[in-house]
Amino acid sequence: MATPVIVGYGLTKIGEHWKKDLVSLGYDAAKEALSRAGKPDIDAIYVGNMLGMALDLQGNLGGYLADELGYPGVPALRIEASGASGAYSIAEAAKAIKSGLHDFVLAGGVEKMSDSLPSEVYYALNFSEDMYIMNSTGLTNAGLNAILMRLYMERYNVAKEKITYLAVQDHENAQYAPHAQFRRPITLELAMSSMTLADPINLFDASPIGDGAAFVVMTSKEKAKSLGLDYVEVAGIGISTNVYSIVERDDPLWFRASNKAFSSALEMAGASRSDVDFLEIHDEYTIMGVLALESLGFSSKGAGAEDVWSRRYSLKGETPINTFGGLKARGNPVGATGAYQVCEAFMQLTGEAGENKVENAKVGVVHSMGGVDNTSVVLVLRR
Amino acid sequence: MKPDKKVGIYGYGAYVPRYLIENSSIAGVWGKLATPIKSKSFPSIDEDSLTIAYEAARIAIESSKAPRDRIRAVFIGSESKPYAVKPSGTVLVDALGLSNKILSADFEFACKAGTEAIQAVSGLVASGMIDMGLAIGTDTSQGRPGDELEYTAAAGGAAFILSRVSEGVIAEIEASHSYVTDTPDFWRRSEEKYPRHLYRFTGEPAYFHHITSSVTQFMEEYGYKPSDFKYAIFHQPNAKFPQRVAKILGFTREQIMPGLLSPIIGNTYSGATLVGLSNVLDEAQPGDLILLGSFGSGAGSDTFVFRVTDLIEERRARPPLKSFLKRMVTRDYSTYVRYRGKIDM
Repeated sequence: MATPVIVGYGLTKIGEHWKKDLVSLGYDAAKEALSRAGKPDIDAIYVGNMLGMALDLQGNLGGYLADELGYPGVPALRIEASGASGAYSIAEAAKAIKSGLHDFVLAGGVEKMSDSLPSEVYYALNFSEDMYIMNSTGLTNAGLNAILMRLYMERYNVAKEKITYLAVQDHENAQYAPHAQFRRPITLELAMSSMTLADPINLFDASPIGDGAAFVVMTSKEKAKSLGLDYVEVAGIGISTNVYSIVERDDPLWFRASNKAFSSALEMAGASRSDVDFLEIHDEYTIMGVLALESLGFSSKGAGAEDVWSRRYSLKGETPINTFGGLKARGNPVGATGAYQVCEAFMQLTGEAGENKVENAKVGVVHSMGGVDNTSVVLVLRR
Repeated sequence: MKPDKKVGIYGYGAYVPRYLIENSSIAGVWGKLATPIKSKSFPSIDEDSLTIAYEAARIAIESSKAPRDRIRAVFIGSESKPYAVKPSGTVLVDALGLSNKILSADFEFACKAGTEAIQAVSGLVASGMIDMGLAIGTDTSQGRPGDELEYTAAAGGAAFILSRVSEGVIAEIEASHSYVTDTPDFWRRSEEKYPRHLYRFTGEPAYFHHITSSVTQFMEEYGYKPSDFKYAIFHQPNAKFPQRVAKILGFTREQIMPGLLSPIIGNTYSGATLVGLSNVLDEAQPGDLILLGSFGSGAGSDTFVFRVTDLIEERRARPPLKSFLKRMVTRDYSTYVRYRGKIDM
C-alpha cells in the first residue's frame, strides 16, 4: 500500500470574516494549499464542515468547492463528524491515497459562524450531542462540560485554577501564531474572573466562535519524492466512536474513543507514546483538553490538570501541546479545526513554526473530537 | 460637501430627560455581569421624542433670539416617532409658534437622522430658499427587555437653527461629507416594538467601517488632520466604540471627552452626536475647530467640521446641557419598565 503524505497546506486567519462566505473562505485556504503543493491535478476533494447546512443553508460543499476551484468532474464530498469533521476528511483522504485509488487529494475543512446570531450558533453546536437529551433537558455544550469539570474537581480534589490554566497556556502559545484568533496573552486572574457560562465553566474555559478554513494536499510518498516535494507522512490513522451520551457511559471522565483511536493510530504508525514529540489536542473546553491528555495516556487519571499546571505540556515542556494556541486561542471554526491542527503539525515538522517551534520534532499527534468524544480522530504525523 | 454660500449654527439647545437608571439595576434583573456603560437616561411617562424635540428647539430659539417668523423649515430626525404616520414636525411648528409658511419633514436614518437633517437644512439655507431652518435629532430609543440594547438605549435630543454665515452665526460649517452603504446591522420593521441587531456585526463592518470611511475621506478631501481640532465627537452607542474609533482615527482622549456623554446618559440615538455637540458648544471658545462623525445603522456616517465664532458667548444655550445632567434622579428597574411601557397587560 502507498504511504500517504502531505505536500502542501493553506489556512486562513481565524476570526470574523465579514466579507467572506463559507465557500470563499474554503477557496482561499484550498488555493494556498494547492499553490504550496505545486498546483497538481487533483483526483478528489474532501471537505470537513459541520454547520454549513444549519447556519449557511449550504450543503453539498464538496461539489461546490470543486467547481469553484476549477476541478469540475472530480469526486468531491462533504464530511460531517461535528468537531472532528476536518481531521476526518484528512483521514479519509489518507485512506484514498493509501489504497492507490487517487494520486492527489485535497482535504480539509471550512466553517463560517459569524454571520449567524449567537443563539443560532449555540443551538446548532448542540447537534454534536444526543439531541433528545440536549433538547429535553435544556442542556448546552457548556453545561455538558460543566458536569465533567465538576465531577473531575470533586473526584480528584482538583482546584479549578489548574484546569483553567490550560487556557492561559493556549493564549501564551497563540501570541506568535499569525493565523490565531486571539494573539493576546492572558492572566489566570482574568481567566478565572470571566463571565460564568455554566458553573464552574466560564468564558475563558470555552473556545470562541470564529470563521476559518484549512486544507492540505496529499499524495503518496513515492509521488512526492519523484516530484521533489517536501512532505510529512500521515503514518497512523485512528478513528473511533463512544457511547453517544456522557450520562450513559461507564465513566464520563474517560474518553474511550480517543484512547482507542490513539492506540490504533500508533499501531499503524509502528510508533509508541514515547516517540511523540508534540500533540495538538482537542480542547474545545479546558476540561476536555485535560481529559484528553489522560485518555491518550500522557497523564495518569486525575493528574492531567496538575501536569498542565506544572507546565509539563508548555512549549518548552516535556511534551508540548497545542503549539499554536489550541482551540481556545488559535480558535475553533468547528468543521475546520482538525484541519488546522494537521496544518500546524505539518508546520512543526517542516520547520515552519517560527517562534512556536518544538525543537527536533519528528513525530506529532493530532487529536480531534466530535462532541465530547462521541467521534474521535487521531492522526500520527511523521517527518 | 461645501455649499456656495457658507452656512452655520445660529443657535442651539439640548434636552435630556430627568430620569436615570443604573446599568447595574438592569444587569441585576437579567443576570449580566459586565455592562457597556454606567447609566442611561429614560423619559418620564408623559415624554416622547416630540416633547424632547420641543424642549431642545425652544431653548435654541430663546437662547439665540432667532426670529420665529424667519424659521422656514423644521426637520426632525428620529427613529422613535410617536406616530408611524403623522408628522412630528407639524406639531412642533405650532407648539413653537413658528410661521405656518414653513417646510417640515420627519427624517429616519437610525442614529444619524439628526445629522442628516442638518445636511438638508444646510442645503436649503445655502441655496437661499429659506433664511433659517431647524434641524433636530431626538429619540426615546427602544431596547427589548434583557437584550444588549436595553443597557444603552436612552432618551435625549438637540436642536440647531441654521442660517447663512452672513446673518451672524456661533459656528460656521466649514465642510461636510456623507458615506452610505447597504449594511443591515440593525433594524426595526413596521409594527415591531423593539429593534433587532446582528451583535458583533454592528461593530467592525458597520460602526467602525462607516465612521472611519466618512472621516478619513473627509479629511483627505479637505486637507484636515486630527491635531487641527480642539474637539471631536463621534457617535456613542456605548462607552467603548467612540473611544476606539477616536484612537483608530488618531484623536486623543482630551479631544473626545467633552462630547462623550454615553457613559452617563446612554445612547440617545438620533440625539447622540448632537447632544455631544451641544455640550461642546457650551464650553467652546472662538476659533475652536470641532469635528463631528455620526453613525446610523443600515448604514452611514456624516462628518462635519464647525469653526466657533465670536458670537458663541452671547448665544450659548440657556440652560446649558449640564443643568439637565445635574438634575437627574436615579430610578429602579420597575419604574423604568412602567414608564417605558414595557409591561403589556
